[in-house]
Amino acid sequence: MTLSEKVRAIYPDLQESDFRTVIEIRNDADGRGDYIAKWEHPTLARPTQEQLDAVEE
Amino acid sequence: MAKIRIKGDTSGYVDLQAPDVAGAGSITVPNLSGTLLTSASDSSDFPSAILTSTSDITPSASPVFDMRGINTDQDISAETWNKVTMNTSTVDTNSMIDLTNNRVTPTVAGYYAVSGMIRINFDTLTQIVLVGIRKNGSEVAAVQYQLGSDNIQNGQYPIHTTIVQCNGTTDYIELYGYVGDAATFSDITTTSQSSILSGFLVRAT
Repeated sequence: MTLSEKVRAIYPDLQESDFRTVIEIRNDADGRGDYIAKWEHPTLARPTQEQLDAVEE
Repeated sequence: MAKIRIKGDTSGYVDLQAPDVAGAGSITVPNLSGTLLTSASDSSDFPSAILTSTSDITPSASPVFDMRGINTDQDISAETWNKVTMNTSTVDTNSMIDLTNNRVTPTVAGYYAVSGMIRINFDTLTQIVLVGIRKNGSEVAAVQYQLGSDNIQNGQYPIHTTIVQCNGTTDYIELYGYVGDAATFSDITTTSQSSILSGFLVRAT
């Protein structure tokens, strides 16, 4: 499951456009993988690592 | 009309004539040996230091870079900005291309014209693609391809030329892409159709 899929699992109401406006998930092709580079959503809190890990489980 | 005529040793002559207008002018002849040139002189008479053609005006020292991702098969996630990995330096006049970090770090300060293109193969048809040029990780310019439904297919997606100012030491330029659904960058072996990040110095600072 990708990071954007995990975020969507936590916040099912997110739209695709949110990921190119108020949220930015980025991959710098440096081996670190996907990460949340920006979270400026007006109402939803940035998910914690625990929340993201729980989705994977 | 006053003029001075200087005759050649065997034939011909040259007239020195003042214009028939008010005012005073002067000509200073330097203490050097050489040939005076006029507006009618042939370009071959000019010293080599004088610009005589467009090739003299275009600076041969202007930095140029062009790097490509050829058949890199870079798998990318949906709804994620992915830096495009590059594996080939096509042109690099000033040691600017860093294939390890997939970036260009100009070594001459100035304004650079930068453009790019990403070759994208989609796992399924998608609705949106963005291509962006970034300086030091921050977006400088981006172009968005979007349809009303999932109908965007495999192909090359270019971004227009944009101007990026670089300090010539630490500033770097990268190419990023965003897709609505999972895809693969640079899944093609043809060099001319591969992902590209290219540019050149427009004006030094």
